[in-house]
Amino acid sequence: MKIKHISMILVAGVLAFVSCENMLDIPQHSVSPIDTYYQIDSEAEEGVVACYAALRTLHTGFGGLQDLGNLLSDDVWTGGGNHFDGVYYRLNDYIFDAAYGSINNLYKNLYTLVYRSNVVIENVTGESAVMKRAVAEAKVFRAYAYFYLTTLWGTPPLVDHTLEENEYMQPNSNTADLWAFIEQDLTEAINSGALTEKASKSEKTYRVTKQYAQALLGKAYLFQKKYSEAATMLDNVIKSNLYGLHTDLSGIGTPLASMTEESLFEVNCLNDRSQSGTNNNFKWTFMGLRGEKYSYTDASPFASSTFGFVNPTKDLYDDFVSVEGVDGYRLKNTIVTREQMINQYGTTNIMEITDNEGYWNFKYRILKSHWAGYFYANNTRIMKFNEVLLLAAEAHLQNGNAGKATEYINQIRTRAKAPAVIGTVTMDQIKTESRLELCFEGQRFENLVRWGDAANVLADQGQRNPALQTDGSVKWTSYNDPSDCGFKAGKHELLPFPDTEMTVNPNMVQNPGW
Amino acid sequence: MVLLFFACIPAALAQETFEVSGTIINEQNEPMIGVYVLEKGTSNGTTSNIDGKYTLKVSENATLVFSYIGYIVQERLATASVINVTLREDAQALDEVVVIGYGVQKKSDLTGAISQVKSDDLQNRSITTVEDGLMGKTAGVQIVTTSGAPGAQSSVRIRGYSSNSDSTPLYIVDGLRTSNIAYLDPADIESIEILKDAASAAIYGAQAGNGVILISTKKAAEGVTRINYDMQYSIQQVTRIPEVLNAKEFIQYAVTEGGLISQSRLDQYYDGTTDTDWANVAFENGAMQRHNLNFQGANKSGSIFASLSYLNNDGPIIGKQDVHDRITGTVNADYNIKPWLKFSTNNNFAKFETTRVREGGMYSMLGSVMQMDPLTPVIYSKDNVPAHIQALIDMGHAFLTDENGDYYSMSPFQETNNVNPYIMRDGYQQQSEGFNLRGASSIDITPWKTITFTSRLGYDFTSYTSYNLQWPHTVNTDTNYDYVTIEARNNDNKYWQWENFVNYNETFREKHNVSAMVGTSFSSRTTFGVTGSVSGSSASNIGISKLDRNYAYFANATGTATKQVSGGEKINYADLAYFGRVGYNYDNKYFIQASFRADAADLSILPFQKRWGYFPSASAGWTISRENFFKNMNVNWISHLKIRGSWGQNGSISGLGNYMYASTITTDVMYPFSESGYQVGSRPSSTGNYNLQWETSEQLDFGLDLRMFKDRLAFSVDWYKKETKDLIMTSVVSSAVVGNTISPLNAGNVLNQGFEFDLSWKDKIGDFAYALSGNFSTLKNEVTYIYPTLSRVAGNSGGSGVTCFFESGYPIWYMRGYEYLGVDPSDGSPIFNDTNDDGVINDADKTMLGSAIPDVTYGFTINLSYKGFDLVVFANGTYGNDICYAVPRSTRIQANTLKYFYDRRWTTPGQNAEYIASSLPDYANYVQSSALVFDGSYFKIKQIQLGYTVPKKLLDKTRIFNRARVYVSLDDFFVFTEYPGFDPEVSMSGNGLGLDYGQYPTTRRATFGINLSF
Repeated sequence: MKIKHISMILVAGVLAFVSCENMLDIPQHSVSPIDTYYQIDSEAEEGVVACYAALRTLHTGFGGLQDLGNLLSDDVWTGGGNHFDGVYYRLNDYIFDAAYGSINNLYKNLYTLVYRSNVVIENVTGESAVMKRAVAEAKVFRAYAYFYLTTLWGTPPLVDHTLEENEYMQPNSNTADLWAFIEQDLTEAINSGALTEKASKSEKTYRVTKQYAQALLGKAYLFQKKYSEAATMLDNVIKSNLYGLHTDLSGIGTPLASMTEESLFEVNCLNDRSQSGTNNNFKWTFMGLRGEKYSYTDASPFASSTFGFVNPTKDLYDDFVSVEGVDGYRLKNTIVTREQMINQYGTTNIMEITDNEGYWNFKYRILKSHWAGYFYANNTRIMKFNEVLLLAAEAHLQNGNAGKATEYINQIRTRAKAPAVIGTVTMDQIKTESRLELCFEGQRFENLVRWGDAANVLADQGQRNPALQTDGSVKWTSYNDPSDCGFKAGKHELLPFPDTEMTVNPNMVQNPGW
Repeated sequence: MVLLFFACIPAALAQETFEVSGTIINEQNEPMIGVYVLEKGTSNGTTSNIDGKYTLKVSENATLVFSYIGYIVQERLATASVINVTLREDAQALDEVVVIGYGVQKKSDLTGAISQVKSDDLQNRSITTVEDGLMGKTAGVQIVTTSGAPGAQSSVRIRGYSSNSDSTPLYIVDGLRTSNIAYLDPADIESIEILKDAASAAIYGAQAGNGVILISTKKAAEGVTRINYDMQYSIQQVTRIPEVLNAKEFIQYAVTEGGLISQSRLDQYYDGTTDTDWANVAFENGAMQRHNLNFQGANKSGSIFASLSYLNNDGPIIGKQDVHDRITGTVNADYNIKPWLKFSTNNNFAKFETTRVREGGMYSMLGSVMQMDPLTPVIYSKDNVPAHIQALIDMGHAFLTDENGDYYSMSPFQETNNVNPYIMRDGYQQQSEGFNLRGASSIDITPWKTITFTSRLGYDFTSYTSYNLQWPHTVNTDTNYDYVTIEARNNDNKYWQWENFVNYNETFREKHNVSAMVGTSFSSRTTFGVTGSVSGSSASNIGISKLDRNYAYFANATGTATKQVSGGEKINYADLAYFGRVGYNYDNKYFIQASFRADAADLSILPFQKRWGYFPSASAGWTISRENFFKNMNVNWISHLKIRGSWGQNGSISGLGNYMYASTITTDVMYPFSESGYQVGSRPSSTGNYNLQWETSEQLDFGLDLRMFKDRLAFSVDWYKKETKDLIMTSVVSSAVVGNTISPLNAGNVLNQGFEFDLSWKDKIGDFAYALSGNFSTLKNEVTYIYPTLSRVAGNSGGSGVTCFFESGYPIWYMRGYEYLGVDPSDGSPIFNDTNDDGVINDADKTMLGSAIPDVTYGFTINLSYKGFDLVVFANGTYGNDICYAVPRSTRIQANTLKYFYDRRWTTPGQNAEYIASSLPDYANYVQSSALVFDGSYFKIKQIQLGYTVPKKLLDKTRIFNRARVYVSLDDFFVFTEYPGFDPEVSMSGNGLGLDYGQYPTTRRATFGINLSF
């Protein structure tokens, strides 16, 4: 009897013992868990590299951030094989809707950049120089993403941390909060002392710099009409004396002139086909001449199997002429005419080309010498010093310092070998100068909107489109019902939130008019 | 036997003894075999023989105790040398004992819905797996057969389909938890309990969401020493071969009418006489043999049961390419070491070997049988190779030949995807082999009568290897393999579990019955596998050093061969649980029971924060027939009436695993920070979902049990409603603001509800005994919720045809496509329902075409016996399910077609035909339409068995045999269905539910068998 009682006690002990919960803690092989990652310099750096990669995605493939800005502007016709080649004409004609793919992708890719920045900001907690730089750079990236989310969509959700499952359905934010958040991120990054700074004008840097952060902050102020803060902040960049205008405009948009003293920040690509995914950007191939429409001699500098999108408008050309004449140095390095194509660049025959008035993009021409079977490594310029001067000029003018504004504009005119502004510069002159300097860089649409000019300037988009005839004349065609196309005030100032977003997130309110 | 012998000695030597003998009969005056006769207070005992006779030497003034399961125990003073006894059935219980989780319960005490399938239902059937034995035998249990190939396994669905992932129930074999019961020979099964309602299953908590099947293997019955030998031999063939077109019809269809094959091509390649019946070429009569030998012996102190089974199943495909070979052995023993200590052990080993052909999908051999044209001969003589083959041979492509060196043919009429069944058979060799050793051993300690402590250790070691060979061959003009591919795999699984639990049972004041159980369980599984492959790339680089099957091994891989290896990593799983149950009943009238289980999963299944799942249940019952008022009502033709209800929650992990909730670091991006060189970046692979949790089923069950006419009629009905929540959904589209791929979410609900009826009647009129039993269940299955962004999740589409979808408001994985309205009488083209009336037929018009889930499943069994003869008829069926004939593809228009379609086709303008013209207009949409969806209802007579038991008198003379029975049986022989394909019982499962994509059909078998007892 005793034995069985003892054994009973024994088994009771056993019963209690089987609480080996730690045996369930089976670690996963071949992976690093996120909660312990980003704790050393190399891992922190990996995190921010992913932000650079996400930035690159924003500018990869046709329909990225800058292409969108171009197509929504009066600087270009859509182009391509014909007007309906692809779906890009919908942007240029202002007949796109909330289902438009590129807009959806852009929205998603911007939030991917926000997410990756959040990952770094949340997880990199160390105090080393590399870690602090990683966090500061991530804040700049986050601000960059929100700058475009705010200017293009107005009230997108403000996501300042990586979301938990119960937070996936974020409501709209408001524009003021977003701007405050952008300012805060950039201010913190600038003041962190952790961002890279060049030592001299000639030094190249491939990273986000303090000056780029200042320039972006200045731009953000200007977009909010905070002219005084904008002027101060942009002057910081100018006074740093680390940047300047690149005098030779002949290769300004091509691989020949990347990472010059004018460059504040570029998406860096290497001429390395073995890493095509990292270095190639298909958008250049879209922007080159449409090969089958031309006959060339060897004298042509242009790659010939490109797709022919984004053709300059005569309206843009005429603005150039108004400032610097038909033989303007900057004009010649930005737009090429039919005559120049034939007489100067070895083109022997030009067939009928839709969405073309006889002008081609020379600034972003695809160099035959650098083009290798759909591989073309050319950096995307995120911010250039000429833009800083233009923004600063506008800020000063609006802030009552016309002299400073004129000084900055004339620096640009000088580099362009164009006549200097006589007297003090006007806002209209700054607007024109901005159009010419930054054309094809995707800035025009947002500037028109913020200046309040969009409804006027873009009202006729899509009403009629040109087709260059073989004899050089232009034939016009109306592809759209006139009442359906063109910029509509009160609607097109903002892009629509993607329709998928509206389906998956019941807390979202669509922008007005969409 | 030996044990019994020793047990008898001490009593025999101790005292003055005298001999008592007698005959034990039941109320029907039949002698009772195996009744245990014990001298009270000793271990001296014996059992009655086949004539009910016993003899026992007892001491003076002894008391004899006569006991037999299900009968009232009798005690008699040994006052005479002849004591005859009549044992009466224990009316209180048809009181069979039912195995419940971590305990047993009297059947009449049950408050949940537990079905029992006994060995009688499995005995002598020509089934090879336990799962097949369940089909049609009890309500609420459905068997889904995806292949009838030898060695293939069916899946069991209890009360519907609860998950978008696997819905396989939990199997517990003699206390051992297992996911696979292929190793069990049906002949070794004593009983199968199916815990259908949530309260019954809840004691298994996190894994019981799809129901629980408790299997008890055989043990020796007390007092029985016996040797049984059962043998069975079956001839088998494919149950139904769909009729396809013969040469004349095919020419009419594909050439003359359809223009699918040009006349010139026909003239060029057709010899004018060939009329190949490919089914005839592919199939032959297969054979299956089974042997089961078992030994059993038991006395009051212990028992032993040992069995050895052998199965050899050569399927109906010609040659030895579909063979399943299995040897299983079982040793079950227990012994009462002390009055308070009992040791039990159950052990099973199995070794199996399977060779199979390719089935299902584009390269299904079965699909080929239906699609190959009849104009092509089986082989081309090597001396007269047709031009289209010679051209390919000249290009260096490999062709398979028969033993004479003649080429297996390739159709010159079909451009793609036609495959000579011989090429399918010989081009691939798929072999697998495995070995299992499983079992559980336990000690029961009973320090007080009311308390039993059990500690049980279970183990399961599995080793599995496979070897797949693809031999160089040309399938058709655009598919050829000029090289060898070898893939081999080895996988070891080690599992152990340790469970400790205490059972307490006590009766107070005769009427208050209290029971309680509490316990813990821990289990651990380790798997380790390595997979390798060697593959050539062209005729000049075949991959191995010599084109000889004897060289088709890794060792002979050439230097240029592509070699791959994966695995080589130990993977662990573990889980831990605490559980308990309390029950109370008053006077066997009012019953209540509640249970609770807490389960913890390891980190590969669930995140730390959500590791624990808690699964409660409660149930109650009321035996009305025991109430005084009921007794006063004079309805004594009702012997038992009980109502019961239960509620509970169960979990399921079928969709979980592989750390799917985790956000880990992936380094798939890079960026150059200079003019040369890159820096690697890393990012979280997905958002992570550290709130991921168990799928949870909540089920309500109400039931009624009724027995009437002295228990001859038994009836029970159950209604249940089972809602499964938090199904694991992957590929969820999220708001873009999330910024990363979303980890799987708990974001789907499924509802299953239905009625279950079981009815049986048994009686005896003179020598004629008969029993009828039937079951009938209804099922309504509906997906009630999925994550809003996932409006419709696509599953399998077979080929490019009708696709299964998971969508809210529809049955799980329902079939979706175009609704076929019939043929346009003017031109024979198909008309589809333009559901949105926009004038075009496109994706937006697709709609639900059917569901493979039957509204009703039923089965019935008739047992008749007269003197030595017995007859069993067993049939089952389904109603209201659909099946899609998913074999045709829009890119294979030259394929042969079913005679069914041909006979109903449109031929002349103005004709109101059922199916489209032979030219196959709009065929791409047509194969995605309801034209190929059929009513899958069927009725199958699964067994007609006639047996004869040799009379005892005759056997007694042999002095060897206790029992001898011979039988003949027709199994799965008759099928009634409207489905024109192979077999309505067989189709894809999972996310392709109900698509028949060239699946291996079941066979029908003519069986002869012998049962012998010594």
